[in-house]
Amino acid sequence: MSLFQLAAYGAVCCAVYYLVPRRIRWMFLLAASLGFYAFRAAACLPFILLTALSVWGAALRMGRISEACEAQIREKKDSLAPADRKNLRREAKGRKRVVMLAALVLNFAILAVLKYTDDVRGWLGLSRLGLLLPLGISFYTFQSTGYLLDVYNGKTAPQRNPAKFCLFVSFFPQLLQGPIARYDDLSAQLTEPHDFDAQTVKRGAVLLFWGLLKKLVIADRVLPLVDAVFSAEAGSMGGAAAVVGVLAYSLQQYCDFSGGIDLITGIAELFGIRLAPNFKRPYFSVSLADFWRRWHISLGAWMRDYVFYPFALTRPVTRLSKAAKKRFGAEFARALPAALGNILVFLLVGVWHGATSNYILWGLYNGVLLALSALLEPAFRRLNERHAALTSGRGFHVFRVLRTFVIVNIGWFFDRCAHAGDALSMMGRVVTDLRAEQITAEWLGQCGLPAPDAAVLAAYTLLLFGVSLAAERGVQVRDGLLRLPLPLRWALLYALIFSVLIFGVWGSGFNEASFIYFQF
Amino acid sequence: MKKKGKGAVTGAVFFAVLIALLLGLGRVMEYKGSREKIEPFLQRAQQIDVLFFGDSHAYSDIYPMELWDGYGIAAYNLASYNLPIPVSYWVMRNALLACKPKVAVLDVNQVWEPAKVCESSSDVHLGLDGFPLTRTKIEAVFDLTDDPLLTDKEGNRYRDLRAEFLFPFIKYHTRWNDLGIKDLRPEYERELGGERNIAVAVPDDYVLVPDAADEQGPGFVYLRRFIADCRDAGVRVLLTNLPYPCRNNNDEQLYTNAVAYTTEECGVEYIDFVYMDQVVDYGTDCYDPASHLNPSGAWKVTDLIGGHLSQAYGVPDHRGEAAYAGWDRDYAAYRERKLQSLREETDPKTFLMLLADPSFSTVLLLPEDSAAYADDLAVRLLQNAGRRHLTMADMGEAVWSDMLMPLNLPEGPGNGTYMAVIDRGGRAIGECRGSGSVETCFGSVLLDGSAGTAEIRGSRGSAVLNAQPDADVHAAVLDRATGEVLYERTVRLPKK
Repeated sequence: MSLFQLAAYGAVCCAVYYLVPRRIRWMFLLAASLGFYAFRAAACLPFILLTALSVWGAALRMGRISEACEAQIREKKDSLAPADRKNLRREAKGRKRVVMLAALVLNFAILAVLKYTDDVRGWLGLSRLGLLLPLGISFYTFQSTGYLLDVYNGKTAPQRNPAKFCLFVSFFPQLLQGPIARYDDLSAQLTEPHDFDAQTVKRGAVLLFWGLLKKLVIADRVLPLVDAVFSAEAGSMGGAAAVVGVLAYSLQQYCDFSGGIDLITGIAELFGIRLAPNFKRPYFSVSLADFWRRWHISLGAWMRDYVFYPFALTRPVTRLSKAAKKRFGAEFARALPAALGNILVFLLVGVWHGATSNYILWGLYNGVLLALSALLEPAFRRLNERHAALTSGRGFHVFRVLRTFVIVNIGWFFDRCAHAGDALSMMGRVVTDLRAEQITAEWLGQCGLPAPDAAVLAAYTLLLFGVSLAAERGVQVRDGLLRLPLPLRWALLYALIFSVLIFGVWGSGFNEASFIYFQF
Repeated sequence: MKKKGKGAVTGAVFFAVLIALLLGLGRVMEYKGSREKIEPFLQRAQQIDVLFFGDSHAYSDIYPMELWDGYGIAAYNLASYNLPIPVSYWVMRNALLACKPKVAVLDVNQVWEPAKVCESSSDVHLGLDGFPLTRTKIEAVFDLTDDPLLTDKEGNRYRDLRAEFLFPFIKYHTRWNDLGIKDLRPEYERELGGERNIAVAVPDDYVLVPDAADEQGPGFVYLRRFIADCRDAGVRVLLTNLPYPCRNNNDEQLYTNAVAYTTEECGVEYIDFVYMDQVVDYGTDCYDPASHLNPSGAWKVTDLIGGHLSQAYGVPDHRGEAAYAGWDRDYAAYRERKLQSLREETDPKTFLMLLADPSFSTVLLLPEDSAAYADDLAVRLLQNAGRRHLTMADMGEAVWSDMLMPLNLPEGPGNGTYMAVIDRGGRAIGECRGSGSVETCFGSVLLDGSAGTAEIRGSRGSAVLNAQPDADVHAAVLDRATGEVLYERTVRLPKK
């Protein structure tokens, strides 16, 4: 299914959604989502249903354990001492933990087996099995296990209706590449009937086309250049080519992922459903930590809530922190759990991308930098305070943005190269063989970016930069567009639509549906 | 409520404008080949009596404008590159929505093709894109792409290309980089679908195979459907296998031979030119070594088919009818383009080939020391300029080459200046050596061999042709009715 087919499917479903009776609108959404899944990957349907039903059942079971415990406490209110109550609750929590762990193990085991078996066999020198990787498995597994943990922690009441929970897991726009929604944010929106609101639908449509523009006009147009640079034999490209390649990859990856998310969010908005933002102009970040708060926000938040905090609060880490306090002081001790947590989180994120050396190094690179940044943060803060005149100006802000951009791009070498060695070799050439004359129009043409394509790419990248800068400064670009006088508004909307249709890389011979994050 | 109604109207207008822009832009962006061919057909569809279908053989071998000039037949050539019979069948179905011809002529060269469509999806686009989106076109696209495994040469599954066959913008939106003024103001085809491929190629050796394959594959299925559907629509069918030096690649001949049995069973006529090897002369009439005819060959084939359509199928002569005045205008423009081709031709032998044009009379002057006498191909091309075209009546008769080659060119140098006047208006050929005169339908042509000149006394005045001293051939192209000199050139052949 191409992106246009996905968008058209969304538009048709949207039209039907507002025509069916209000009380069954959520059921229609469920049918549309399962229909989408069956059309895209019928053979994988049992996997998503297994996850949905196992998590739904486990959450319900945990809910019943809690209810039974509380009922018992209520029943024996007068005869139970506070310690007994505590014991009952602890016992219940233990039973809940067993259920929760069983569901977690089942679902992450499915994910791990399907995702990593071939990688592991590769390490062992065995042939690939080519196991089926169900559509959106990472995203729906994270989304449903997040709900499971919320129920376990008592933050969320379990959903009693399996169909409604199925809808939360399988809402079709999200299946391609997230975002990983929270049950509290999304479930009620999915099941409550939305009435047609022209403004909401327009907003959704604009976002949808903006996403298509980012993906098809920018990301897919720069793709041949990225492929040419990163698939070239090690040593055959100069340092300047490596720099251009990684910058191109930076642009491609951002537009591919955030464009896809805009598309998905736009489709959801057609139904009146607002998904949490997954990007917040990450290339305007002033630090690496800031970048990761703005990039793939939903995964970051999932990792923060379900890995980072639980890990930082584990007994060994708190003990280590206390020990560090005595030796290195309170500031260091406070930062240590965060530093270790970041290393763990990014190692996991790296492994989630793929069990290969480049992703593991990419995770470690980010984790270690964030850890160092957390540990050195007090020193930097004092330094900044001492030179307040210098560090409070706009120039320093721009410097920080550029610095972060460079740091992130160094990390992208690991992300994009197939092997860690290739990444190191490319970075080495950036240092030892950086000559501007390596970049010529002819070379760009050979890399699949002839001059007219390069001009289109440059023009739309500038547009993207302008729009992002305006948004960064608080301008609501979409709302502003929809408030313009009709002739200007229509002209801009037609320009947006036809930019996608004419300059987008789509149609026969182009596999525009393959998002980078689709593989994860 | 009022606000909702206003919103609905605004929305409807927005989408109407969007669709209008999309259609307009689609026209601009599309590759114009198909529309340039099909749009003129649609414009004159009601007047057309004969339609030609098939692949590049029919496309490059049949010139409908010559049928108009020679027989007053209103014909259109809808054949296109690489079209297997199933695609031609659907081209016919789409064409019959717009017109009801008396005869449909289908060339069966591609009957061997094992798939419904060829490897190049662009060629299928070329055949179909220009037709408007109708139920029949949708049916055509779904039928032609029903094989789930069939891919084009780029590896795209044909089934995945359905949308782009129905909405060609999907394919052609990438042309933003190639757009030119022609895309804004397309020049529609004025040659009624035929294509002149101008060159002279040395043909490959060819082999005639007498055997026939069993009738099998989609080619035959759709051949039968073609015949049946035309018959249901009241359209007579004539099948051809146009001439080419066949090497029996892909067992092509075995399949085209099998067509004879099919047509016998179906009661339609089949002219297999591959076995009628006097109709064209592969030595002068090939555009490329193994497939297509150049104009010299196409003029002969077109002439034969035109005569046959007039006599055996009773296709009417519309020349002189007021309703068909546009066809005369188109012919005049076509004739002008042919003249332009003569003027622009830089290769001497190709120029000599073009002198076989039935639209013009020709005067040839060969000085006595002309190098042409020592050049077999040049002699053959000069003979070809005066060659008689065969008709169906000649078929079955013994036709010898010398019957077809009326020019008595001197055996070699030393016989004085030679002049031949090919009077196409009077359907006569006159020759003389040294000095003398030739009478024509437009007047006379006087040769003064000692001066190396010829004087044309036509109905619109006189002109003198003056061969340059080092000329091998001096040729003049004349208006066949008045003798007016339209173009003259001194030809110098490459030294051996």
